[in-house]
Amino acid sequence: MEDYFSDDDYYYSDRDSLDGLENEDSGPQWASKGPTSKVITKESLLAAQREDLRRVMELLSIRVHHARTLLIHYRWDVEKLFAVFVEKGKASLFAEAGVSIVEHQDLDVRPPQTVMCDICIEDLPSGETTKMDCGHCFCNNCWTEHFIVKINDGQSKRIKCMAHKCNAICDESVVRNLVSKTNPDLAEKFDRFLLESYIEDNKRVKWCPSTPHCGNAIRVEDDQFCEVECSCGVQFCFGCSLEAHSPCSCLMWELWVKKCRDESETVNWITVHTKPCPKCHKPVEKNGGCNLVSCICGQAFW
Amino acid sequence: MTSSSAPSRKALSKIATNRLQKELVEWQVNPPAGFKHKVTDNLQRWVIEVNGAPGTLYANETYQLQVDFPEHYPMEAPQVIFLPPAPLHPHIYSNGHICLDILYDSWSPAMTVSSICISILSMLSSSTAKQRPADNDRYVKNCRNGRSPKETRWWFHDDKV
Ligand SMILES: [Zn+2]
Ligand SMILES: [Zn+2]
Ligand SMILES: [Zn+2]
Ligand SMILES: [Zn+2]
Ligand SMILES: [Zn+2]
Ligand SMILES: [Zn+2]
Repeated sequence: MEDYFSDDDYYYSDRDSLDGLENEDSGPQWASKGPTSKVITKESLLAAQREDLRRVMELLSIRVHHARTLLIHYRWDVEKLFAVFVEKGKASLFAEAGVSIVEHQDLDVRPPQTVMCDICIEDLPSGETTKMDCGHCFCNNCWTEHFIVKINDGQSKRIKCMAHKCNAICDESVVRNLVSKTNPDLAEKFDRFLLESYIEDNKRVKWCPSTPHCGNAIRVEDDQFCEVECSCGVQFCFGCSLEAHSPCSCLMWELWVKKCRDESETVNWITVHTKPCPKCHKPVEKNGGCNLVSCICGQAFW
Repeated sequence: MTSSSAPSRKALSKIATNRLQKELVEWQVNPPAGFKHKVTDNLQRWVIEVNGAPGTLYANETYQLQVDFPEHYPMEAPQVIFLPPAPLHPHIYSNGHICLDILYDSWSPAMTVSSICISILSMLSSSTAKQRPADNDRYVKNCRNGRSPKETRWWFHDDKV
């Protein structure tokens, strides 16, 4: 997590954070630990993710990186994604998530011998350049540097095209290929980030909070406020990842725990000076500028 | 990660050096109207004179922009601030920090120093009141340990100004 939130000015808390805040009004419906939850081991993580990717690829006839971009945008909620597809259509589904599928209309006779890269302002043989799905073409050196900066900045899941105001998310296979040529360790890190997104961005899946970590995650089928039990024996609240605390609400429990740790000052500060991001629910501080804020997850809100 | 406002002391990457040399040449041939680059031998920090456009609130006034380039420019945005005294403007803080999305979240590697200058001048020109942002005092106080504007989580204005 430290890759994402290293700056203490951002007042993010970890994933065991204030997720409970927005649940305050809705009044969680408690369910007992039942058969609606499933333990996902390290080994089955990849398979579970592949299954969701496959469903989306088949339904929409798209390639894996587009499916992943859509799923990350919809927090791995396949049903929600399908609902948006039915309601708003493919074009708006794709545009919202930054997926651009261009029908390659450039039937130009031959590709030009050299291409000028607008980033480094060099003329290069077209073989040393890469055109992304959005149609923007830059040289491989510039793409590689861009990918390295973004991966190191913790933004692997949404690496945007380099063109100004282009919202397209870069093809993960291009990222992987180019980065691994100069920086194989970082390419591995990139793959790990993508894999873990299935857990960290998925509202139905959470890491088991055991310490030391057992390596498992839990997936719930429908009720996000149930208490679950991992195969390692740990029981926890799926809503807040703290120890099981029904019938107390997640917010009250969290405040109680914080109070016990004598951090009530911090809690007050956070509730007064931050707003939770509507997408990833992390508290984001307003500390400059005016209206619009955008969270590191990419969501902008007012 | 330190939070000092000094530009990262890391030397410019090869891509950054090449690109800045090209931008400098282009600037000398074709500088953006209203701007003057005070040439030094420091490629990593540019100081640029801005002249308020005629017919605007800032006509006949001159300000100075300081642009510091990070190691991985242009993949990383440069840090751009006004040197004191900063123009009185609803999106410019008294410490010189500028509330302009292209300097932060909306930066893209395809932008250049010239395009930044043009955006800043248009921001100045469209201003209808010479005043500080409403949260100036709080913000500047928060920055007093020399925090860089790139470490602020900016809430940007609407497009009106
Ligand atoms: Zn290039
Ligand atoms: Zn693009
Ligand atoms: Zn466990
Ligand atoms: Zn809870
Ligand atoms: Zn967020
Ligand atoms: Zn502002």
